[in-house]
Amino acid sequence: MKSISLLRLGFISVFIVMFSSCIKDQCIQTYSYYLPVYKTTAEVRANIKSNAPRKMENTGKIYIYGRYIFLNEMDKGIHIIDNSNPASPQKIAFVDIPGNIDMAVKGNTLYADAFSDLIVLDITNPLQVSLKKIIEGVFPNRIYNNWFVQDTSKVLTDWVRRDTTVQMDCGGGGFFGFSTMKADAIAFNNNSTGGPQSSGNNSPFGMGGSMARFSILNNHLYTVTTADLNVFSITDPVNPVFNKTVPIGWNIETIYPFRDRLFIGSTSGMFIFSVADPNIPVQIGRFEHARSCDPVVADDVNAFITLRSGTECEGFSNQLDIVNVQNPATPAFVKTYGMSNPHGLSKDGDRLLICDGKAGLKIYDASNVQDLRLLYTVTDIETYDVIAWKGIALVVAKGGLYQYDYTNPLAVKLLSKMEIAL
Amino acid sequence: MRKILLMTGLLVCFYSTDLFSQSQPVPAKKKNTRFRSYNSLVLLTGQQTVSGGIQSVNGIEWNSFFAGAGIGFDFYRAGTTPLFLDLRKSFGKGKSQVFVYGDIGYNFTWPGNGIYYYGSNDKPNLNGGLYTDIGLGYQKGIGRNDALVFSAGYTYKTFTEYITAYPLCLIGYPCEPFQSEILYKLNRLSFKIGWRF
Repeated sequence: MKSISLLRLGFISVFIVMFSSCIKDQCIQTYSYYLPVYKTTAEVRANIKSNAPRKMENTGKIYIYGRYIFLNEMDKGIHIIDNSNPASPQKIAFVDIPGNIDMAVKGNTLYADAFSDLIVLDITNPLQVSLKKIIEGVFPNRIYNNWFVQDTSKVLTDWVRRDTTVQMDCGGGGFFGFSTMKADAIAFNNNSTGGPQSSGNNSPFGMGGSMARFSILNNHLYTVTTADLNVFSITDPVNPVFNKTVPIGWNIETIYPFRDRLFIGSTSGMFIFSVADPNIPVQIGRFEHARSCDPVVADDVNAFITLRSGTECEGFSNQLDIVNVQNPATPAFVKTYGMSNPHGLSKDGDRLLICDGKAGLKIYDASNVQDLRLLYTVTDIETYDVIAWKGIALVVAKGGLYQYDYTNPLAVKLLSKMEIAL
Repeated sequence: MRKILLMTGLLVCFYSTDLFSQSQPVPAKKKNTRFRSYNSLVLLTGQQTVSGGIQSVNGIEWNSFFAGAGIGFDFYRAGTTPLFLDLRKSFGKGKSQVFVYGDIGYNFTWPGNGIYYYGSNDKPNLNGGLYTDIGLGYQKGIGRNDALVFSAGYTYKTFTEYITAYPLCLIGYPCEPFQSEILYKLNRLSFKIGWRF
């Protein structure tokens, strides 16, 4: 009897081992990746002009000049919007500029980046924008997500989304969960050639607002890269002359001009540069803060810095810091106000407008920085950047470009909304 | 087919020594219908994975048929809770019987449970899927109504894992999250030992 039991046990063990080796799991991964589309330099340059308006999909920085709004479409170009009537803005043209993220306008001249080049456009007639000059190689090579390196012999003009399904190695689940074989599904199966930037969240940064990386002060164009401040003379607007690069540090994010100073935001602090000699910016002060993204605006007395957390910002702070910059050599901390997830901000006299992410647009009375008073909150929109301009707030938010009349900050009125496809 | 043959062989191990060796089957005067509860520990083996679970199946027995509902915990690769219908048919009379069974239902996933992790911002997100189990069993009566139950079968579960990873963005812009979904189709052998009352 005992031998029968042992025999039975042996059979069972053999069956288990044999059978288990026959069993296979299937793990099927579905994901999207982006393929780059290239054109020759000649093809690209021939198309840098006013073309038909197109749908706004993945908008970036925004700039107001006169009655026009210039709105960047990430890596593709610039929408030109006639905002003569803020209650009914009209798209009138689209300028194709592959690799474009930043811009600035002086008079009838628009400066924009196109990957590593600076291009100069005549916008006297927005319906007939023309390319005036290209200064090549003044910006460092672009860095893409997923370590994509572009073919530098051609111009990257678009990304084509591809959806794919692959069979991946399931690895082993181990013995009752104890396993060292949990492979990185993405690391081993990600065929993405990089890129970014499909039509997900918009990335709104305001030129002329607090999240800009291009800025014009009198006859000079200042641009920041992740590490440097570049100076261009634009005394002759259509013939900018590259003057100088000033190394600053790492993770430089934004530049904001005020009088003869430049306020430069980085993830670790705010730098104050004097441009008393506009060709030679000199760092005259620095205010350090917790690691975070930090758009900044300033006036004669104070700098207003929003710090936000998030993956790209690394930090954990969500707040508004006010710093007294009357003595720029020793910026003095004034006060911190708690926020939800603040992004861009704008100041118009005593009114301080803050895009607080999903918490909406907040309008404060900032006449006493020791006691900011919240006057109004525009809710139900996820806000990224704002330009406050003559009683009208131009707000880039998820799904749309909104304009609000805040002349009476206790009764803010929505003037218009332009849809941004998500 | 090969799997079924192999499983049949496994059951013969029990059946040949107990069921056929019964010299004096005990005639039992059964009620036509009765409540039954099967409660089992489960050993699950599959591709480079050995895991386990527990199950409770409760239902009504009618002559040689049984229909019930089952619930359990299945720890194979990712913890799930299968909720299923169970049908079984017994063969033979007396205290030792062979039975076949089939289950079909849905695997519910557990919140916060996931397989792959890519950083502090990644939230595991699993969605449940199909659960099936078919097999052969042997039950040996103990006492008046209880029985020790063994079974072996093939069980299949699916679930989907949704992954959102945020690539490090070096230039300060919001990065497009990388989104992916993985459909797991898991083939396992199940070996159960349990108690029926």
